[in-house]
Amino acid sequence: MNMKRVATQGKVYFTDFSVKYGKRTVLDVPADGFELSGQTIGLFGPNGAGKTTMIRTLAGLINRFGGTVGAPSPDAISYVPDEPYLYPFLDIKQCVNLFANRYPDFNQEKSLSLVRELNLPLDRPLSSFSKGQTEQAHLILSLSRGCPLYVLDEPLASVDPFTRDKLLSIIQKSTSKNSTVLMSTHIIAEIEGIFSHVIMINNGRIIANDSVEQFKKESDTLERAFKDRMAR
Amino acid sequence: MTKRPTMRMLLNETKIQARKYLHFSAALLAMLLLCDAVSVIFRSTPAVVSIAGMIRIIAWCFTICYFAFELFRYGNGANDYLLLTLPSRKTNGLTLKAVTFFCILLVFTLLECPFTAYTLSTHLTGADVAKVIAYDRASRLLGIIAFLLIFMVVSYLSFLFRNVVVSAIFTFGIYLSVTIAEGCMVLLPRLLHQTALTWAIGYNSDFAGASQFINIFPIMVWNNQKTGSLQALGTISGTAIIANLLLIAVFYFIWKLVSSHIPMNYIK
Repeated sequence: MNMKRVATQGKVYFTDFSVKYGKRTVLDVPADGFELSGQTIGLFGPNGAGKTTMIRTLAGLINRFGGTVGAPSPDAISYVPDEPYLYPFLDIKQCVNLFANRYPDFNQEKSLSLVRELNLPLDRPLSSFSKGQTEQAHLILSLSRGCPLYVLDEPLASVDPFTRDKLLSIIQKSTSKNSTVLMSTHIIAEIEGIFSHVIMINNGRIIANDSVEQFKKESDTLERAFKDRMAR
Repeated sequence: MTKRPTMRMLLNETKIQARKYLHFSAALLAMLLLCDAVSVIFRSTPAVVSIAGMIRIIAWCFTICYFAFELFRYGNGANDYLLLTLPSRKTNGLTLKAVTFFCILLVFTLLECPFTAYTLSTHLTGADVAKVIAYDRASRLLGIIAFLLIFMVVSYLSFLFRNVVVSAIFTFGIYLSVTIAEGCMVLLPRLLHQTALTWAIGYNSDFAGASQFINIFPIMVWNNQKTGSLQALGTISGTAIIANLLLIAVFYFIWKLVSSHIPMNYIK
């Protein structure tokens, strides 16, 4: 397998890229590929389309692939997986200490102020949190890092609409102009305002890759544009 | 931006891993202490002592199997992102789990010292008891390190297989082959017609020689003609230590080699 990971300062690109699970190709990006930087990118696709595989490759969890991936080193990527990963016996205070210990780019004060802003309990173990609260905790910790790339795999699926708006504004405020945010989601209509660019995947292939303005020329909403593309 | 793991960071991470296995470790410790207490209190009732001894062995076997399974599971479906998102190389997660298990087993091994000393033959006194205990415990710790290293390497290589059943067969198959090979090496003097040496699987509860460890597996080997003295530590003891040290060196080298040269998908 001819694979190459090139470390960049924040730019993300895939060239002639493919991931296979056994004989099945789950993700296939053509030779001309695509390149992105300094944007908030929405990654849309039906279940099993290859979104998580793309995200895991960026996070450095999938290292057996074909082609070239350009991305910051996995340590310089703030990654939120599609499932809770902090151990349930930890409380937020311990999680904050853990992150501060691990990542030099982690801002402890910022994380604690975000915890207060979202009214999350500091001393209660995560096992006592609701699903939405757990998602908020993961997102807060991830956004308290100062990274060139944030990779968020369905981070807002269980959050209530009121808190979701708060979190969207936190995402916009927390990430710098030079940072790239790649976020996969199925709740397109609710959060489409945050994106400046959209990639749509189906059956492991990229079926659309354009700016939001371009999509809006074709359809009035991103969700409509996504459904139209899927129906083709 | 990239941060090499510092000692403080590794200590903190190990603490969190140890916390993850706290309930399991506490339950196991309680069981071992209970067995030891029963053995001491009912020392004159052999049936009770042997049942307590059997439960101890089952508890140890269960712990070892559980830790082996946890190492294997880490890369084969557990998707433990807290470890997978550790800075630097992703293999650190596997190392950290192995270090945590070593620390837990180290505590158990040390806590068992008084009981081991208590059950030793009355032929031994003072410095001799200390020597035998030091030998026995050090030998076990070497065995534990060898066992964890073998499992780290085979668990890492098992990431290559997408199918978890194939991974399991590969992991346990390789481990078993290595253990049988080590066993043959340790028992070579016996195979080479030293008929004075007798061996059996299990622990020496009544010192007639010494407990040896083929990585994690305890075997008893003793010399019929030198029973009850320090001389009984004899030939096999040296071979067992050398075999375990050799395994540690070989598997440490393989670990360094494969973890830096064979890229893996850490998620299945």
